[in-house]
Amino acid sequence: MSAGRPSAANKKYADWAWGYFFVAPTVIGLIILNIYPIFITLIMSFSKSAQFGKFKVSGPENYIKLLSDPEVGAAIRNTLVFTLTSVPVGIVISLVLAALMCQKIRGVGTYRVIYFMPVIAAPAAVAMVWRLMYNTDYGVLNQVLRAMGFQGISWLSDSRYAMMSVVITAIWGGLGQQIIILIGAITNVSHSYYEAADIDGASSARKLWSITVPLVSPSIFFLLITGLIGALKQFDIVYMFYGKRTAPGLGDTRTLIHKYYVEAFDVLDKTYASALVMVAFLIILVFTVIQFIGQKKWVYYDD
Amino acid sequence: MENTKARGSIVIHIALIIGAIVMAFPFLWMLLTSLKTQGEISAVPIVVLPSAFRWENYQKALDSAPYLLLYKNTILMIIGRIICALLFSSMSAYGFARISFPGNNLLFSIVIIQMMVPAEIFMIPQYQMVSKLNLLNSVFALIFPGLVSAFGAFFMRQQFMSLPYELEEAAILDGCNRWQIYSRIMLPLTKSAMVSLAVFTALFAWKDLMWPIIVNMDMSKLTLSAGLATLKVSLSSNQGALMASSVIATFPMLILYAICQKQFIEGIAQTGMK
Repeated sequence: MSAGRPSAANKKYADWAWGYFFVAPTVIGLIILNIYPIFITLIMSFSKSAQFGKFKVSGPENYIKLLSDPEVGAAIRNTLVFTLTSVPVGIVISLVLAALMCQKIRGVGTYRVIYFMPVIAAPAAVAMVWRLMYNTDYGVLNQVLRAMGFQGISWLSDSRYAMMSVVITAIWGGLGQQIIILIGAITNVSHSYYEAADIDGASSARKLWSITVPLVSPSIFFLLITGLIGALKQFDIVYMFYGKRTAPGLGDTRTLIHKYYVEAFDVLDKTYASALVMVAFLIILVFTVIQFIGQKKWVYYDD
Repeated sequence: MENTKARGSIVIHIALIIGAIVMAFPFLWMLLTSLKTQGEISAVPIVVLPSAFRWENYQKALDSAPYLLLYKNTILMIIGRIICALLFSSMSAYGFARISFPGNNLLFSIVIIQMMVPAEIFMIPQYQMVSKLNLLNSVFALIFPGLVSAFGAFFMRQQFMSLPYELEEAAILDGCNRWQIYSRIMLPLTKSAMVSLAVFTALFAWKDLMWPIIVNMDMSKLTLSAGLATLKVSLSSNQGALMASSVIATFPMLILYAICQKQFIEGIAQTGMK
């Protein structure tokens, strides 16, 4: 052991110093920008607003208010409905499309570029064109429905369809990214599995379900986790479709984070908003934990 | 056999083409609507192609928002966040991955915590910090939450951990110090990961809507996405101009994407994008 030699010890301490030097900007930044705010938000959620933007710790009042606020219950339900429909449906569609794009066909590059376009677009811009397409009187969707002999529907304001409309736009916006990740995973699956299945005469659907899905399950799991967390924080589409407070249909689509935003930066009740965002955090945490426990049952790791 | 194969690939093409139409249609519709009169937009039955290109919608759009400023703010925000993410994340990632010092794991857990917690939890306190610094309505305010990137640190650490140790040992024997090893040997080896992180950071900043509308009220200090959200209210009676605004805010990015789509797609495939 050379640890006793002063030069070696000095070298070790010098290396420690380098270590702290390299991580310092990130660690200090994260403590100021993220760790400290977590505690502030937690404290604020147990406070009431006083004058001049100051806060006084007062107890669980905000959480009690939250329990009796009908908008909160609806927002939690909407958030769950949005998440549990948009994420699984989006992953199934992108899995099928990714599997199709991995077949030996021409023009895959072109398809990939087109399907990826919504990922590049500014959310505000695409939400606005979707809003126009959803218009009850002259929107292109209703015009097509009517031309086919159906009745038009109030996509955004009818409580039966409002959430569905948000979900459709969200799935459309997310497909490209999921497809890219799944194509990467499917390309890595060894051809020998498919060749063996071909010899057994397996159908395409069977191959997708019995070979592709299990072998890319780590990627599906990754998309599920990130998708669920992203969806539980849905804000953009609802905000662009319905604005802040009163639009018809907002009651059926208002998400928890939308409610948080309005309370914090429009109503300006920041302590109440802090309690709301803590609830959102708890829900996300529960989903994440369930996922990590559940993955053992169906995610297949190759190594 | 050959015949069924050919038929199979035709079926696949048909399915993918239908999907592609669904994906591309809103962009096409945005473009077409931006060139129509309000009468054509709200006509029943539908008017698909404008009778004449109504460029005045674009004039109206350009009159209602300072697009050059919005572009400038957006680009400065993206560049600022990319520089911070690349520099600080790669530095800390190198420290976390390659140097053993007391507290390494403990400090890295801060990175993990940040990634587990929804960003909205930080927002009110971050807003108050920017406000206390008297920096609301500034480009700095736009960059602020991106001054450090936990995801970047996590992602780059993964990259550094996969590099062989021999390189580093040889450099230490040659008398290089840690900074020289980091900047001259390790960084060049993670170039493609850095490009991916830059793409990820750019897209994430570009698509962020809530933070810009919180910290910057002043139209001349908004990002494109946030500016559009404001226009939605002020231009609500003129949908042609609204769509023209959307085109102005969307198509330059689409063109940029068309030019460097390889980097975009690889960036997303590599980072997974949160």
